[in-house]
Amino acid sequence: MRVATGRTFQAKVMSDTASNGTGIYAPANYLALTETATAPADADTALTGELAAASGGLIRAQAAFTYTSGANTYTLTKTFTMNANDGASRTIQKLGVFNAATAGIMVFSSAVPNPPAMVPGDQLAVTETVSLV
Amino acid sequence: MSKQLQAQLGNVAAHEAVRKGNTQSFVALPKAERTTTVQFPDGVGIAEAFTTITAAGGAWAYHSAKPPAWVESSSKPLAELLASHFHCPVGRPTKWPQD
Repeated sequence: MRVATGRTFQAKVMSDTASNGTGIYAPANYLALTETATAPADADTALTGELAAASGGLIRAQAAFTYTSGANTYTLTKTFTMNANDGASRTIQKLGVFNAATAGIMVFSSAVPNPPAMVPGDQLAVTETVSLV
Repeated sequence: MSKQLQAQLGNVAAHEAVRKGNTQSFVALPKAERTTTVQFPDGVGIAEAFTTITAAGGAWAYHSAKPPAWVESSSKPLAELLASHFHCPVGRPTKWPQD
């Protein structure tokens, strides 16, 4: 069986910002956003339509990693603040979790419930829960 | 790598999010004295760290149903801010279980 300390190990290897994993073994803790509403699929390797405006506030960013001892999940949390470089309005439909600031491996993808419509100045607090079960 | 901010919070009412479709709920973990650790990326300042933990949809809300029993941080100002916000002491009790 996988014991409690094994779950802690697994969570930290997968996404801890303090991890010293590099390259393809770098921890997955970068959150990226898209307006593309297509449902996440097993064969996805990239986040289609990823928001990537130069100096935009909705571009891919590293999240805070949070883990509770003995838990079966961990979370990645980041607050995005839209600015004028992102455009006049954006509706966030889906997110991806990557292991690099650019390119990298997309490890998870999730649809955003009740997709929020944003304009410059709006903030979006994203907390992605990753299950270890 | 520059020094990263870290915060630890004593968690006596741990829960975790479970999502089915567009519906999210929280499931309580067995009652225990647990530690929740928040590890921030390089470059995150105290203000952003504080908001990340304490916001309504922030990290703490996703990990506990009650305020923390105590807080610690690699940043003394962040620890004091969190303690003031949650009305709890700074410092892990000596008998608190290790992670």
